[in-house]
Amino acid sequence: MSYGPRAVRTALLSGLLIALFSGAAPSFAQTPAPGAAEAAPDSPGDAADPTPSDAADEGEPAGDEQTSADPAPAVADDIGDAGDATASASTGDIDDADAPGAGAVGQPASPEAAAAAAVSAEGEEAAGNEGDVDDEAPEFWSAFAFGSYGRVVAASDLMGGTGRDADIVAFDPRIDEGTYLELELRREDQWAFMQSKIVATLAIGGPLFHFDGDFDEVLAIRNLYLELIDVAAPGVSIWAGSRMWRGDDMYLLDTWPLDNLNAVGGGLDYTHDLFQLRSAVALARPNDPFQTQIIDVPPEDGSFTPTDVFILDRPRLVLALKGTYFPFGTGEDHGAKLVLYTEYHSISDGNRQTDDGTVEALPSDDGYVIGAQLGGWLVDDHAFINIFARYARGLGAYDPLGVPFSTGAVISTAAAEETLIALSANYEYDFMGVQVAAYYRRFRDADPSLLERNLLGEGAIDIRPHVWFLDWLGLAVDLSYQALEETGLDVTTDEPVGGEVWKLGILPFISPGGRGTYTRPHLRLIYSATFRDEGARRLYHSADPRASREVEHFIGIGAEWWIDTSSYLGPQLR
Amino acid sequence: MDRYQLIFGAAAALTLSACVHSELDDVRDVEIATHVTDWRDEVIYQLIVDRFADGDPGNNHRVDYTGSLARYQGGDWQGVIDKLPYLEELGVTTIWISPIVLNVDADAGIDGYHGYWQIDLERLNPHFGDLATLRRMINACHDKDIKVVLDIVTNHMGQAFYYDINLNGQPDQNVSGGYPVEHGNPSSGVLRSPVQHVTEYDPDYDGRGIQAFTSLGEAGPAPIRFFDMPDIFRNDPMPAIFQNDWAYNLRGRVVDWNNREQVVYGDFPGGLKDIRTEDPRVRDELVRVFSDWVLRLDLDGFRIDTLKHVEYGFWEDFAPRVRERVAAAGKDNFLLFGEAFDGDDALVGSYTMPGRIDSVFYFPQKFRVFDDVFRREGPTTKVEELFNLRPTNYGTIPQAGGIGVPPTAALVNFIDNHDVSRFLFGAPDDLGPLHAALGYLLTEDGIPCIYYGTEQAFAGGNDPSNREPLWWSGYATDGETFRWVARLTRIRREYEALRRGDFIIRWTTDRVGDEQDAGIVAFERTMPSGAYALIAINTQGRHPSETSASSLGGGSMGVGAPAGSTLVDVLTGERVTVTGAGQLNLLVQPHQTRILVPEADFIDGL
Repeated sequence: MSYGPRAVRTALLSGLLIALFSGAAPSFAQTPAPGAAEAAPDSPGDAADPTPSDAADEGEPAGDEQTSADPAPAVADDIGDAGDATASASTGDIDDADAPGAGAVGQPASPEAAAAAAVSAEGEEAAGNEGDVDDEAPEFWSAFAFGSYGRVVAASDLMGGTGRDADIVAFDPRIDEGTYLELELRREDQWAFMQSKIVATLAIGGPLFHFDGDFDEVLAIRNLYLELIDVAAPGVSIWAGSRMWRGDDMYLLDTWPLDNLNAVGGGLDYTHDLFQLRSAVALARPNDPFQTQIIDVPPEDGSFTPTDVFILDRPRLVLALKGTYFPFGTGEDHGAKLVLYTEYHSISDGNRQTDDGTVEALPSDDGYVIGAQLGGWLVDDHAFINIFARYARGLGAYDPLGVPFSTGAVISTAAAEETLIALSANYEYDFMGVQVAAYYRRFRDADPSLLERNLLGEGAIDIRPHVWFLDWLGLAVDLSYQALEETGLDVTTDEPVGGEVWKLGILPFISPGGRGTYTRPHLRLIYSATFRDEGARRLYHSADPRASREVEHFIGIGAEWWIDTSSYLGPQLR
Repeated sequence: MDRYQLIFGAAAALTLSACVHSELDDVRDVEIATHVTDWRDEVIYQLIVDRFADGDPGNNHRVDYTGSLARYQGGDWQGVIDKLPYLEELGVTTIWISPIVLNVDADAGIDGYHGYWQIDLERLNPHFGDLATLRRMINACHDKDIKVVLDIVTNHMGQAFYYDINLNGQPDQNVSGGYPVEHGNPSSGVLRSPVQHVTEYDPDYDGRGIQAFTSLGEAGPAPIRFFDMPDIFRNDPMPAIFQNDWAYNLRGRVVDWNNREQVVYGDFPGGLKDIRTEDPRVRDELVRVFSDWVLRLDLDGFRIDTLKHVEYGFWEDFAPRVRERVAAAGKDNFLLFGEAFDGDDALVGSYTMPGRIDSVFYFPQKFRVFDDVFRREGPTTKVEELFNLRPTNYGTIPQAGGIGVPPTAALVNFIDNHDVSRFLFGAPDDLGPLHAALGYLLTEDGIPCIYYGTEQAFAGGNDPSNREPLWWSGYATDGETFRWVARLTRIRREYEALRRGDFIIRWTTDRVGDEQDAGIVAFERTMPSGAYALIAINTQGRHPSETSASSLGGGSMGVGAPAGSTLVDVLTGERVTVTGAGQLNLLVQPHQTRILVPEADFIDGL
């Protein structure tokens, strides 16, 4: 048995990741470099700072010292594209389960960036309704804030068509994505005994009205919760509601490799100088036949109103626990962290009515996730690295908003498993910067009749160097490789199903906030050329034009921003 | 990162990556081998993949869950894998699976679940799984010594195009056009309006080719226009040769089944477009594409659909070329048997003449024996009459490069199939005739073929009612009919004479009333080695009968077993002795099957 170049390249990709995981991270930890603190992934930053988060920075242009972090913008990919076909259990079918970035103007959006921003914001003038915020902050104050993550793209494929996402893996390079927007409204108050924060985030998926003429956008509520901060003791916070509950992301690959819960529930956090503990309990009941079945029945009392009866109603319960240790504390200009993470998923048994009128019993189900993250940052070098490892089994291998792929008859997820290793890093020096992200993922579906099938391996690596010609003008080049392999045989080649995609993109941009790989907003031109091998083309339906295109172009103009959203404002809030 | 870390990482990564593909190791390389020694040893089980077992809900696209049998029901190749133990318990040694290639998914509210609406001969029907699963299924079958015969169609493609009779560039259900088919020309003097309303999807036969028609009359050959409906796979017939109009005969639907020209050159009803198999380029592609499947899957035989709709010359070209190609890859004894849905014994047998195919689906026997004799309790002399026609109507020498058995001895016998109502249709609880018929099917000469669901006493009417999902039965193995079939296959497996022995009829009768021997058919299976079996079946269910007509002034049945020898009924253990005159008077209960073997060969407990 021989394996083709694709397998070798995929192996090398995963090898790189494993090697880094096995070696690079400890090395990093052992040789902490002194420096600034702004690029701290998941750094607690101003955890104890009573300042109403980064509202203080709203409207403040950021210098490049505020930019080197790993923000977390979201994506709302086209539903039904090749990437969806291979979408992971982690992402399920709901693309907008991805999340937005955040940050004030010129302020980093991700946890890392937020932390960096928090550090850099110390002493700066705070914005908001209450004016200055400093060590002598008033006992009572209120603030109302507006935040947003957004990207808008207009692109052509240079063949008379619309530029489209051209990826084959679940977590694909963030260069040819479509339009997506989040609007956040936030009310914050300092009370006598604690702070409170009410967050509401409205998400809008493209295409927009001005593109398709449909006066009907795709909407979702992504955040709707109340958080109480410094409850009973400093560093203790509690929240309840609907929330994107996340850690560090990989901006370039648009995913959150370790913790990425989208659910309704609540949580209790405690933040200390050297560690942070977070916990959450959440419920999710997607409207699918695995968890929900509602039937209309005639009323029994003679009234005319039909009655909805829940035949199947079994929300998934998710318990999550995350511990982060900061060996050098959280206030330094350099730092490191070790994260341990786990989830437990549980779903009760139930019955559903089949189309032939019989009742099918669904057994209870459960699963778990375990994972770890090692990270470090050097503020002066605007550098950070995060290495992730995650293993999920059973129900835990499926996103709370996702369901087992074969819901027609799959009634147990016991056989499902997912292994993921990932890397995200950033480094900046003077007028240059580079972002890197990579992952390898192995996923086995749960279908009990297919224990030897529906196994896939996939991975991607994306490198994006930047150069700034002026403080506000720069150019990024994005080079990526992605590969997918499945345990299916292609009928025309007798080779395993799968493919490879190379992608080269050029992004000249204007950054009013200044230099920094994570500084936003950006107004950019985008050109991307995607090179598919034969296997990648075969992943598309034969009727899809992409099935016959070796090269796919994507040229257009777009904008991306993250402004003062609360998802990544500081570890105490995550 | 030091070199050890790099080495460790690379090694671990290769392991991770390789373990994805390593799960394909069992299906990456196909080893072609001959799995059959003598096809008469086989018991074929015909199954419609969509109806046999649903092992992979992941491919249940557009599946109907309401029991509407004209729609996809969800069965797949994984289901076959899952249910191989069931087939083993039944005693099946070969499965004949419905077509595997991509079909037009739906047409007029009917689905292509059966596989006879092919649109791409090189791709698989995704409703049934992928190539890996299909190979895994075949490998699993071979591991259990179960052979796999694939159903193929060379006569037609699915409804890939329409005839644009009114030249408006769109398919119309009801347009003016056509002429009385028996004349095909208005100058023939037939007193009928030359204007008929026809459908452009499936117009009636016209020997000149379907003609365009305007308000002023005919306008020359109607152009064809291929559909472009990828959502239901109704586009781009493949291989690409089938995207040319010259690859089709373009004469419209067969309406006169006694007209040989129409039968050969006409479209099959339902708009299935007749392939111009006379064209050598077309023949080359059909040989290539179907031989390729053998070599890619290690198939053991073809069941060929609609034999009589293709000219003899095609079979004389196709059959030897396929045999030659697969033999070159190491596959001998590759079975080619076909379906000529006709009661005309000479016509059916004609496809087995030298240079053609190895065997045919024995439709004349289905009509004259299983229906007339076993189902309707007609005279058993029909068995003998039909048998006596065999040397005349069927090939008597093995095909060159074929299965090594003359067609006369290798006919594929069946009680019912997917194109006719089931044997029990109309009398679902009357198992006696069915069991008697099964007794004959599994002891007569030739190759028995059992239609799936027979063992579960399914009783569906005509298509699609006769294509019930087998899971409706719960795959029960304790039913009376299942156990009867399983027992008969065990007995057939143990006694070589029942598989390979010559067929000698010892008793038939035209008496169907209260007579002593009414309903009796008795025959021997003998081999030069001395292997011997005597079978007697009472095909009627009203009274016991005997292999004797002594009450009518006749004698008892003469047998080939030595005078004075003892025979044992392998089903009951009863012993009988051949008289000194070499006769045997057997009492056979209503619908009973008796299988007697020499005492020395008796195996107890079967």
